[in-house]
Amino acid sequence: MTTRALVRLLAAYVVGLVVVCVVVRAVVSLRVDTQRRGEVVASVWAKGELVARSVVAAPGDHDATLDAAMAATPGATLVHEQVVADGPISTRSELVFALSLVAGKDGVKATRAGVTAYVTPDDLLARQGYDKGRTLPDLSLSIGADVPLVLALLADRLQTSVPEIMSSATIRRIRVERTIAGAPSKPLPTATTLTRDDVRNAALDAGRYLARGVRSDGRFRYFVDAPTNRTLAGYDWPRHAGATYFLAQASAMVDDPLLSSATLRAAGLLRSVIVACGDTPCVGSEEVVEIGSSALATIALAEVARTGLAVEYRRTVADLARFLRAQQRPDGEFMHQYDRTKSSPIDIQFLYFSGEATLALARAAMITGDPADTAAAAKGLAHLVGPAWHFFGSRYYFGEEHWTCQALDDLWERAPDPKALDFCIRWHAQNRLMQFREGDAPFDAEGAFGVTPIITPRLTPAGSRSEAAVATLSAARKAGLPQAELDALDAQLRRSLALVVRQQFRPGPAHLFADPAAVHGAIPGSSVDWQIRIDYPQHAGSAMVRWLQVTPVAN
Amino acid sequence: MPNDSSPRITRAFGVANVVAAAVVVFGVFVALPARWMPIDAGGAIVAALLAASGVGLLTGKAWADRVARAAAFVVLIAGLVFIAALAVTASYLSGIYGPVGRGGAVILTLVAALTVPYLVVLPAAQLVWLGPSRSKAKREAS
Repeated sequence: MTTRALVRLLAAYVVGLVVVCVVVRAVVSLRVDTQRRGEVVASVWAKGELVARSVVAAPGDHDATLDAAMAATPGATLVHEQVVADGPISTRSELVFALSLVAGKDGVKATRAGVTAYVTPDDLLARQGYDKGRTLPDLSLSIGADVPLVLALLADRLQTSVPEIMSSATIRRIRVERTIAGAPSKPLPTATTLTRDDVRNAALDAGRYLARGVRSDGRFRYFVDAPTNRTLAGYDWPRHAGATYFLAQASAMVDDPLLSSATLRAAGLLRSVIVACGDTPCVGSEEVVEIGSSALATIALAEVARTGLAVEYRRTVADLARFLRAQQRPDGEFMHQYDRTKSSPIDIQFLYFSGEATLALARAAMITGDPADTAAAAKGLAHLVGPAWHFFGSRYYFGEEHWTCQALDDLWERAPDPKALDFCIRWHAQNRLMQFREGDAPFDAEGAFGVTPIITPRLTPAGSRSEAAVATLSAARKAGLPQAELDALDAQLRRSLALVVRQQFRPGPAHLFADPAAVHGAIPGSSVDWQIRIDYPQHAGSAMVRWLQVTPVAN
Repeated sequence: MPNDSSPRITRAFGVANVVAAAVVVFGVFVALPARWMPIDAGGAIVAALLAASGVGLLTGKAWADRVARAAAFVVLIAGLVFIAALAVTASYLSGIYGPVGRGGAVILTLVAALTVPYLVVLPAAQLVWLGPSRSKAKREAS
């Protein structure tokens, strides 16, 4: 091939590809008719179930079916989902179909034999049908809408089969705007309008959500499906301890017996699962225990003691700190397991535990006043930001670990570590690069962390990274870092906290919940994943409490 | 291979083809987490062609230029199809979600940067170096 022929070929290719890309983008984009609003899908919901549905011309239009359903169903809610734009959708590939619906915003309408049926965002949210399309096990995430669910709903509503829908129905993507008749239209906070009261009330409601779920024996409702209010399987002592820690923080904010008694029950259960690890106590029930449970129990019980809820836990904190110190290697790293049958530590490392143990020792030192705890924490911190994070490319890559920076702040007045502060400042600078700003996604994501709007961001990183960011801000202030650095951290925090406050169920889309009161104050997994594990409100709530503590009242 | 080609250039293309074959094998059969016949079969064919042409060029076989030309054509077409698929996917997702975000743009750019040298630049350069095929050259001469 001659050079000239190759250049011609490649030039034609580039021109053709550009044209194809422009056409594809234009074809699949939603069409907004500015001249007239689209139809309104009016639905009557009660206890998370769809009771009746009709299509009306405009919100407020009456319909006999809807009026009858509202009259016959106590506590029902009339919801209008107005179609504001529509566009084509590819149904040939299930993956492409799944990725063609923006989570929480888009639904579909299908027309067959002159009859049209809708699957609206509320239909999919009520059945948790977003982010269920394709699972990527290696990344522990799912993307796209649940196409079989969408098709089953359409088939049911058009009284036909899924194959018939696929072969003879016209399916289009719709974007809707939801309004609820009679609902108060209070503006939700943004990074710039967020107030201390917003954060305080959100933290207390998150705490009360957790507190309502603490049983008489001290166990939490660990995992809850918000739409159905079902309790899901599973339990985990580190998360139990973390939730207890946040309850203690929330209890200290306000005199509320619901919070304080739940804290004490949860703390009591934690103490009851302390067993012997050689001649020191530890938390766990297996023959081989992991130090994460003991570390987070130490943090929780130290907070219970520090806030005066139960000062008698000081002794337990000192004992658990002794166990953690015994698990520390001379270089500052921790051995993450202990074999109770052999009475010996196992020198193996897992994610998070070293940071948790370091923070636990720093917190314990505040209670015990034991210099050995402070020294062990300082050594652990130096290892975490030194040898433990020293590899080719470590200046450009950071993990999700969010305990180290909290230990940094706890220790700053007793054992300041400028290297750790530099590590945390750099980590948060990278976090800000990954933080969604207004307009970055078609859904509410400002303040969340992620790389693309195709993957709905989780709310838990917004909470956990904020815990670390508050601590970094506090340490940076004590260290006298430039105001620009402090402002950047504060702005990052405000974006994340405002997002969490907006997404918190206070009450959230209550019409889609079987029991809205049961999940009031909860913080879900994401804007479309409404399963609530106890660590979701814990991380966000702890960040809020600490933000209130370190942010001047005038802010 | 071209009659006026220096042995060094021939060797360089031979080594490049062998390396590219190894990269394709690694990318398809090690880096990809699952097996899928269209990609596996395509990867195997491309790797075999590249390896054969590389060995042929390095050992000065008579058939080397024909195999190298075929390998370069196949790889160039595969590369252009792959880049087109990436670009059309990005356009589709952009139509659905709006801008794919800084992260999405970085990922797409990285993928393109990793594939373009092997799947476009190398085969294009090789086709130019090999020049027109002998049969075509004969036709043009007559």
